[in-house]
Amino acid sequence: MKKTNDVTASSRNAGVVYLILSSLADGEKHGYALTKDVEKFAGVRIAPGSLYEALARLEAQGLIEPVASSDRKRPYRITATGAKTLSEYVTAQERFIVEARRRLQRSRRFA
Amino acid sequence: MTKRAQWYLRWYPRVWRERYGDEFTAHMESELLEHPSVPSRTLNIVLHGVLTRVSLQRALRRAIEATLAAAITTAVVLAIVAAQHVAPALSLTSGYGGGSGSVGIPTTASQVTDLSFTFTSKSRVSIRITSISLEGLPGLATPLVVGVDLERRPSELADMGGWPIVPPKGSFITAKELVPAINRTVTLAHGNTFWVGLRTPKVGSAYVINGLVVTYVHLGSTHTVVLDHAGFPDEICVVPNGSKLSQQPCARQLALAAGEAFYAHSALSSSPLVREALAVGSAATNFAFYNHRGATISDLRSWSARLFPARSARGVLSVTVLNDRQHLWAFEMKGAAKYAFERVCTTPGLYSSAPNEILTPPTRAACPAPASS
Repeated sequence: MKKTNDVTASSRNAGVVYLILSSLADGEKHGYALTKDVEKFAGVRIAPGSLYEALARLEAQGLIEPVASSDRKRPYRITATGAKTLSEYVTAQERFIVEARRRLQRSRRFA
Repeated sequence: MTKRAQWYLRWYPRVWRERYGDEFTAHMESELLEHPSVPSRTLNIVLHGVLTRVSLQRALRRAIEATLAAAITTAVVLAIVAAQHVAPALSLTSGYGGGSGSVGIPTTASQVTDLSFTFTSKSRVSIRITSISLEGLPGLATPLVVGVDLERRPSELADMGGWPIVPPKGSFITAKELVPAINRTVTLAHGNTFWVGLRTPKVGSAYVINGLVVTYVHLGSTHTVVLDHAGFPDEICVVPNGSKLSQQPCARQLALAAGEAFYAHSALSSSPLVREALAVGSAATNFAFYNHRGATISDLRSWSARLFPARSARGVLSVTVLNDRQHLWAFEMKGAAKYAFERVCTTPGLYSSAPNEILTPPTRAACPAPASS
């Protein structure tokens, strides 16, 4: 697995669900494409077992929905509720990042 | 590749496979092409496959448990609702055909006395009698119950003399027609009789039974009813062994019992003052009957004080004997605004009384000539 920078480190700490929502926010994808996309922008490889468990949970919560397809690889897309949930999560993460950087700058040890 | 992908798929339950099987297999085929062997991936799939089986079973079990819980709750609620609508208590009415009680039974401490309580009921109804106890009167002893039998007919016989009940030779009932009544289901007839065995151990004491408290179960509901002898208590006087059986030793207690019962059941007048006078008069009358002599003024005042301890609050002033030399006496209980008195006439050994009268003002009247004994 590639070494990650500061951004991907924080991305790795994000839950699988938010990684999936983030990927689908960019367009509908099937499972394999999802894992490739997440690996690309977040440096995290989601194992198939974890992926499909998360997909089932997200679909049950109405945050994503399957797209009709003739292909065996069934694509998913983010719903309006999913987008809202992701937006709230991102806002919370941004507040956390801003505060964390501010405190780091205040601290002489880490300035 | 497909075979290997399907191997991974088999870790998941059938339900899951039906939903995700195709896309999972397609996903795995792509994964295996890119990364043929990743032990952590294998472990991840096996672990999630097993967990999915367990969670689906748990969900199914929770669904079954929830359904069962709902069904049981519904059944309990329906049972409670049904119990509320069970038929009301049976009407067990005392004194079938005018049956009367036994008044003033003399007995000894070693003897077990039996009393009968007749009652009416709906025919052919089955009940389970769970307990029978005695209702007494304040300040007076209550006998101990040693046994209760049921006779499914209104018994015309007086007490049979002891316990267990042994019908006398030639009587119209036989022992097999008497069944133990407690903790068993009995089928009632229209007229029935409880035979109650009683023990009265204290010599010189009067024991009083004001009613028979019967608790029974009918159609799943428990009910309690009190059977009595039309308001007249049963009175038992215990004399020493070997002495003459007589109520005389218990005359004062029996008189008090009579006054208590009379006052409780009297409805002759709505005036409390008149009822009090009649109750004291009942005590005096019964005393004369048991004791073969008239009561004294101190007797009357004692009974009045026992029966009506709050009489001073009601303005009753005094009890006065007018003339006890001719066995004619009256007493006067004054109220605040008006007064009434009870007149009693007795002769030794015989009982007679003039009708109760309320006279204003009190006067003397001749006592009827005693009847020849």
